Amino acid sequence: MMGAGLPATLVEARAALASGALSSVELTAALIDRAREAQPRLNAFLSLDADAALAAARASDEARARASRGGPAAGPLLGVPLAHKDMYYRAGRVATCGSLIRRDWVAPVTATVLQRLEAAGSVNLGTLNLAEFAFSPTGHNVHFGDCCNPWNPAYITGGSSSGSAAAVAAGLAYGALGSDTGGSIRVPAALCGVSGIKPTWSRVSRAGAMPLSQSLDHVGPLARSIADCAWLLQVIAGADPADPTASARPVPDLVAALGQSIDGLRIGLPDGYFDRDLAAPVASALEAAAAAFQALGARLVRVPMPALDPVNAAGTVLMWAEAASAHQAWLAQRPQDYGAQVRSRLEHGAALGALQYQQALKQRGPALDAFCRQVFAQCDLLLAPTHAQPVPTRAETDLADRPEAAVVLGALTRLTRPFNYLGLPTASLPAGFDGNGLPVGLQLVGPPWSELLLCRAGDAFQRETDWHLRHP
Amino acid sequence: MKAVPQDASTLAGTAAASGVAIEPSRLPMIEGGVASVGAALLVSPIPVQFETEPSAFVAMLECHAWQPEGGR
Repeated sequence: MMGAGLPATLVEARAALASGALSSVELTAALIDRAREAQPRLNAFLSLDADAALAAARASDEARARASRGGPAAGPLLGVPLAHKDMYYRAGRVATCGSLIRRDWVAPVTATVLQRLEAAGSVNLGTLNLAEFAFSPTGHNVHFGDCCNPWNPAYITGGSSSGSAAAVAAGLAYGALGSDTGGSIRVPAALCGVSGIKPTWSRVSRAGAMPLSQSLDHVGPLARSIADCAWLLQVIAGADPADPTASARPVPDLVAALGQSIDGLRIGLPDGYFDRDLAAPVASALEAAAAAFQALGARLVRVPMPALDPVNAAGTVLMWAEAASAHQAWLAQRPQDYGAQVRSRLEHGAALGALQYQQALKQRGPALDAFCRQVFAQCDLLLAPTHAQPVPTRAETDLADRPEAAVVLGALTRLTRPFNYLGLPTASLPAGFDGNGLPVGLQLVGPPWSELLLCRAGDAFQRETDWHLRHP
Repeated sequence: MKAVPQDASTLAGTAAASGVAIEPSRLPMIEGGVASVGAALLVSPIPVQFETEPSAFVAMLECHAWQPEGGR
């Protein structure tokens, strides 16, 4: 249980609601109180919809009572309070996307993922802070104020899903949607000490989600544990007529993978790229995690990495060019309404040529082929750091459009960005702490469509360790 | 094979052609950023056959799909 007698995880919350130990109204009211108390310190929420959340919680308690009397079965997330990054549209409601440009923009449609989470019975607490247009990995936001790390507000949350990670870490919600174009689920999950899954590209519908980069955008959950993420991903994944890019591939039973053995699983430890510039606490966390997997029966194998710097560069070209294309009209007509850093990054994209974009795009399939052939011939999952260096402070990374910003931002996502370009499913898990008491995160990377294996292995790791249960 | 770097005036011209005006003071930084990815970006050799995107990428995801019956 998380302080004040509340369940610590989504799985525990489901159990408490199902047993009648807690009502959704009690749980939702407690989280609203907690969110109000934390808001001045963390700035995780952009809007807290207390009345609507309590009304939804009452309705879910009534639905559960009806189910117990033989009525319709309870949804898998019935009564569970969640909150989401403010870039998922809800028809008739403002979706700021963390920007001045959309501060008052009312969405015309509701995102498929929100529809699915609510059909599963979840309660929506409100909208969460994010980087402007989800286009920065630090958690700064010049329009709505920075989101702050619950472990120490002087440090960054990571971004762009800053509010999602901070809210989950601080126990303000049992799960949150994030989005990941270069690391925007995994970096904040790692820096705030929570779990996050960036699924295979196209596994989750993007209909009604703010577009940033069509080749690289992924939708996925952040939550306290991989088991919690599995419950959320189970609900949101799968084909969607509203998103022609969403895969029609059937979604396996991710929840059934929880609690399963990983005996004999081959865990790959990367030689090259991911071991470059590693800070001591990150290297120690990686070593300890490898030992934990070994204790669970996994076999450790060293795996030489293919050349990933060109992959990283190609991903950057796609991200810059596609984001500039999405923003072209605003960038031409109202550039002054962007924060300096986002404007600068968009201008990089506007300055790129068509040949560079095409070169970056056409290498994607061959790069994926080469990576899978080289890496997944030798291991089932790759274990790598999510970030190389300790969590920086907000002051150290408050660089706006200064030239050094590119270096700092690039370093924060160097280890995550390749897997957006390659489209591979990746989970970030808490795995330790640095010398400043801030979390360290590691990522598990699998072959295409291996979310079930990621959930099984991540859950096994979290049954062996307790990093995911530590609270700020 | 590596990409050929572009100078600041070319970059500004490319942006301007899309209606985006980059302030001259910001051009050196953008030149540096674009050059850094250009230096790392490989240029593909002349293809034996054409590939199309994104269909080739999606096909590759399927080609390497994880198989649960692998016993792990």
